[in-house]
Amino acid sequence: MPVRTGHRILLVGPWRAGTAGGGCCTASPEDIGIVPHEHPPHDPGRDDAGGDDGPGPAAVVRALRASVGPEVDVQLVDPRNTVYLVPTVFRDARAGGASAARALATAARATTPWTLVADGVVVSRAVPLDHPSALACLPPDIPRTSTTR
Amino acid sequence: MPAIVVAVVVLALFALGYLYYSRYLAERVYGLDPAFVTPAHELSDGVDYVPTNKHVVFGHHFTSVAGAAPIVGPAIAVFWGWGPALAWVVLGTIFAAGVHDFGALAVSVRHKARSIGTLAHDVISRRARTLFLLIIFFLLTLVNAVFAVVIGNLLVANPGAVIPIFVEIPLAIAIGQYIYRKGTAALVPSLFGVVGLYLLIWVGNEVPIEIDGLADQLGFDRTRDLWVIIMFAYTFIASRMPVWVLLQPRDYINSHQLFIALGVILLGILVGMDEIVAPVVNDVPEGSPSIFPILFITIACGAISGFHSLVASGTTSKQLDKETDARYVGYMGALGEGSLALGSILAVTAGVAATRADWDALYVDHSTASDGAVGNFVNGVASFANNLGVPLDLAAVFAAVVVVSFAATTMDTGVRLQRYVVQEIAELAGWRKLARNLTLAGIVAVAIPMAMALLPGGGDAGYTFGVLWRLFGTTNQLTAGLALAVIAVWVTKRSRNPVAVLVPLVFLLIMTSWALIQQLGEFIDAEEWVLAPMDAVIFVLAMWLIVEAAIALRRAFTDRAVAGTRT
Repeated sequence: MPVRTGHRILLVGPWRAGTAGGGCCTASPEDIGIVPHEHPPHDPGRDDAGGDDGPGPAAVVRALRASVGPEVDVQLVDPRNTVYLVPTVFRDARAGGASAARALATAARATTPWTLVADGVVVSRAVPLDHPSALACLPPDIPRTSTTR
Repeated sequence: MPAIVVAVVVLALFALGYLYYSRYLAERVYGLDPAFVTPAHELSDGVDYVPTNKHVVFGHHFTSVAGAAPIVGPAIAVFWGWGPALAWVVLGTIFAAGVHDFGALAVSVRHKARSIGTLAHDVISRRARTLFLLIIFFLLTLVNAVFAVVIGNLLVANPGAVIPIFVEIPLAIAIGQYIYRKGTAALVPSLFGVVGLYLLIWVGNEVPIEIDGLADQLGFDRTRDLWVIIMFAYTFIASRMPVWVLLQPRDYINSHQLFIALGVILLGILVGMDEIVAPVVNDVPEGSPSIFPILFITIACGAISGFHSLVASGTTSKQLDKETDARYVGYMGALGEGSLALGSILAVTAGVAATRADWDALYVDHSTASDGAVGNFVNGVASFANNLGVPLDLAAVFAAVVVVSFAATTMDTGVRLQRYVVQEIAELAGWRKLARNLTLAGIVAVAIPMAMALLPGGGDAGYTFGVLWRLFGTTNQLTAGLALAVIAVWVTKRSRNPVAVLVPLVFLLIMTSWALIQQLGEFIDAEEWVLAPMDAVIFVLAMWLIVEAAIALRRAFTDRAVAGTRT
């Protein structure tokens, strides 16, 4: 069973356009320097149609980084990035003492958009978070900076 | 020779390339600085720009660039023997793709994470932005055309794949709705999607659907053409849907399939210990396309792909925590693509045939090799899956479904992207009606590649797939050339030695121009009055790129000399 060497917080971002692609022969409009937002708002096919509103996940991650101790690794992960997300959450959960089956279930749950995972435990799921609510979800053993204690 | 030996040697060479050559690039050519404040730190919009762990960024980058294209090129190129094809994949990946992908990321990070199209404007000239859009327009036209033909050929050859492929569409929509509306995890529903898809393979194999009769009644000479029209009608509709409805869940399902297919290839080789039966260098028939320059544009993705510069400079560069992470993310991404090409070469040289005579029959001439390439890959992977105990007929449908799924997703995104490009070019040209009319732009985005895919002529057998594929490869290499030109100018301006960038740039431009001239002659001789003008226009773009790159490089060297004199 892996041994935990530090704390890790993962904020799984919203389900958004980013790179909805067909592999190496396509790219997103932003990748070729075209901003789809400039296209008419009634365009049902524009890439941000159906996207999430609310606080930006990057802003939440920045604020979290400022609020927790420097030894805590805080990352923003796309829900599509299973190459990183699933093994990392599985490993963290196992290091926290979860059984293999439970760790696998946690890793699967962690692919939910707007999910906060702290040391392999899903502490908030499917709810867009702002900084204070994200901070409130974190377990007490996660070190905070002096201003946020 | 056992396929596993070749796989191990190539992967070892890739590891050496990463350990030594990418370090040289990082330290001596791109001059990466761990203290440099990356755009992820400097710019903050709460959405895109966020400093991210390099392993996270690599996962995101790799799932964005890995796809079906590195399968097709190598599957054709082994016509000249597996030695030259593998050599170009290995050398291209280490000395061209690695330089290109890594460099595009590095230069973008130094320019506030701007895309390569914008950087062409900033670093080379204002005209280069228009050149970039035109190259992308032709590239997307050919991508959509070749993948429509790939799908058409595979659905004709594997009627068992029809049900899984078409039921995957409502399946993906249902999964997308479920994930988005319920706000639930994406992994488990998409894995159910993969399982559902594989159950449908069994159904499809039991109930194969052939539309030869319908195509005949409708007056089509080739059944493939009816599939091409069906696919373009579907993509026209799909491109008008929000991405989360179909594209994203479908892409998610496909990303799982990619890893499953890679696992099947590697495990199948390991368990079956298949021997490579193809010759190292093939004695090709007289009159075949010459290895120089055609091999180097036949394998584009898998040796070097211009598309990677778009993703590297568009999405990935906004997330780099440290500038030095560009080495791991960019160079490793290129190695990942090279590994896919390796899998394809092994499938079509070791998996597809048991004896040299069987292989020779599949690669008897260039047009047979081109038209059969994807089918050969499918049968090769099926053979590897068969090594793992999967019945051969089911395994063939499985492999066809993997390739068609990827090709269809590429078309989904390609047609959507082309619509934006058409609108952008129309805006630049002042054609307001086309720029503002989404339906009209969508029709243009679909009609041109569909015309290419349905192209009449070429004798009784019609055009070989290889003709379209060569034009696609040429245009993809031009995109890579443009990105390398941007990188070379940037490296020169920073008073660093640009040779590592200039060598692949010059090599690509020579091969591309040579191939275009050679093909133009062939098209004119054969009185192909659709392909010849297209080839000529792409040749003009290549010349334009050479002139722009030469002017920008000369200016950069002059500025550097002047700055050196002053100091």
